[in-house]
Amino acid sequence: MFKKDQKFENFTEAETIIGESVLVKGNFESNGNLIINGSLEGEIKTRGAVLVGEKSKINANISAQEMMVKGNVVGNLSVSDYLAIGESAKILGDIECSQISIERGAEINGQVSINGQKNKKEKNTETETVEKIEENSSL
Amino acid sequence: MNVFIYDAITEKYKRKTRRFEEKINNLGLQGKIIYLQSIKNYKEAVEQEIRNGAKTIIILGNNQTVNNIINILANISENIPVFIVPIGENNSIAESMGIKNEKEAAFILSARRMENIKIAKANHLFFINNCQINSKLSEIKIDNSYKVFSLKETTYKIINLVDKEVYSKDIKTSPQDNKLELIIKNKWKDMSLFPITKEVEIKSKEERVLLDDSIKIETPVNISISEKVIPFIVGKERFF
Repeated sequence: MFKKDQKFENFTEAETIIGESVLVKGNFESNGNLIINGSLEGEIKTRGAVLVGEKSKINANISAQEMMVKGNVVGNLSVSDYLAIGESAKILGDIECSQISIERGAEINGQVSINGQKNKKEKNTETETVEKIEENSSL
Repeated sequence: MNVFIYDAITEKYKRKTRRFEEKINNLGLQGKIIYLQSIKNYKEAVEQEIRNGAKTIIILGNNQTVNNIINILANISENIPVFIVPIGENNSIAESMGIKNEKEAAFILSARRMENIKIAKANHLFFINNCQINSKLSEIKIDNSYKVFSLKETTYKIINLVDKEVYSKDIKTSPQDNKLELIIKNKWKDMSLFPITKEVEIKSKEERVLLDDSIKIETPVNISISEKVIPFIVGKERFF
């Protein structure tokens, strides 16, 4: 399997945890990591990572840096970096991400847009900037 | 000058209180004593001692005593260091601060290891430790943007200080991080955790909110971190 998925295996450093017996309604914004095992209706935006557990039921658009989905999501997913979709995942909505892994058995009903080039381009720009700084500092 | 505030509970635990006094005498930390049971207006008495130049406020009592004194200090501009000597039961605040019992207390006081703690506000009252309400028919709104509902009957606990149970679960929270945390749990396996950066609004048709395990107030209650900082003298084994 992909090495990046291992990050989610020990994903305990979460700022927010929604347990199985909890329902959240509304717009949720955060800078940290989020684990969802319960239900959520509304919208999620975070600069961190999101782990959607197997028993979760989500009716929301989700925007995150990284994400792993193992449960049910009805809504669009916008992931700026890496998205991992587990075998038990059921997603009804459009997906936009830079990199993706999908396990056999996962169900996706929607458009999937993987913009890996965008990341590469950003990395190239960063490298060029570093080179320019180095050139300047040597002058 | 040290000002010692004795709760009425010290009468019940005379031996423990005396043991602490002996240690204080040996360390040369004596000061003025205010007996709460013998004063009608203890708020005025505490304020007077602060005006007289109290250097440290030392509270002998339990969570309820601490909450009472915190509510006086919260409305005073001076930031006088506070120390808690746990007497009797219901002493989770002292425990969080690394003060296990009266035996160790005198030595911790003499070491004067200080930590600034922001206290929290529930409507017009202040609390330092936590507040809680039964989830039954209660509505919780966080940071004015989302609501949280428990599908099982449980307790909503909003924490500022880390208690022993939370500390043992390695949940990263601190009374110095400018936020509160809402914890909902039946079992730890099914625990929920929400950071509160602005405010929690609690409404309930039947239940009241319990502050610092001592005072119950009617809802609706708005809870947030206040601007008031109190320096506490703490032990090495504090939970934050």
